[in-house]
Amino acid sequence: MEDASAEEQQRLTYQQKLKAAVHYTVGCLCKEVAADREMQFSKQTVAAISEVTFRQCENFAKDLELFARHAKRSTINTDDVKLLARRSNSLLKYITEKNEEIAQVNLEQKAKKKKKPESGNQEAAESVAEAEAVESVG
Amino acid sequence: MEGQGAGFRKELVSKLLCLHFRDKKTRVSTDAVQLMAEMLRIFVVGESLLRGFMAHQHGLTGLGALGMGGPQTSQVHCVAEAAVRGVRQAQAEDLPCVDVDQLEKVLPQLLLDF
Repeated sequence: MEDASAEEQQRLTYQQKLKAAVHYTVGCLCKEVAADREMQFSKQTVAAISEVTFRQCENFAKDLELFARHAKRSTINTDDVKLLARRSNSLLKYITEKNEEIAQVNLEQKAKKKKKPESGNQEAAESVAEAEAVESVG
Repeated sequence: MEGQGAGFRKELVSKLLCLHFRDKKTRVSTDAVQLMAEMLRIFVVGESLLRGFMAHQHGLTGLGALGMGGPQTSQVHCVAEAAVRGVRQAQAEDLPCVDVDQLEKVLPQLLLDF
């Protein structure tokens, strides 16, 4: 019986940590906008926004999981995220564009990694292959 | 591109999502995590804050803000442009601060749109 409540306690502490991290990030974002537009945000507003964001994540997460499961996948991918953004046309457009940007950046990064063996010798090629294998496992 | 100012860290986004999964086997691809970070960023910066400005600027109270949903929504949804437009208007009205009252007004529409 006590184990269950201890577990619950742990879960709540973990949640608190995540909430704090969200609050910090939201605070940073608000500061940026405030500085950019010469506008102020009260502390309560920042706290409220971060609370809402945290709760909205629950909805997002559950939806994403269901979308992936519907597609008979256990890994959520970018198509699921795009579906999440369907409610507003320009939001969807923005997200789709961001997706392409991200894909482009990742593609370029991969291309850079693959170029290394060409300039080095076989040993270098092997160590790069090893590093990539470790990355995919970890 | 991602270095533009503050944003949600990938690890945080990943943990936030995994917290609410019902199936332990569910995972998120790295691209999806990055995209979700953008999504959350818009949620905070693009919508909450922008609508806060616009609500105060229109001097709306309570239910009046709910009515803002219609024609205004299409304006608000173009993330980059609307932010600049909305803020300019807000500044013209000489706003000192965006407070919880303003947020309360914009919250219903914000959640409906997301």
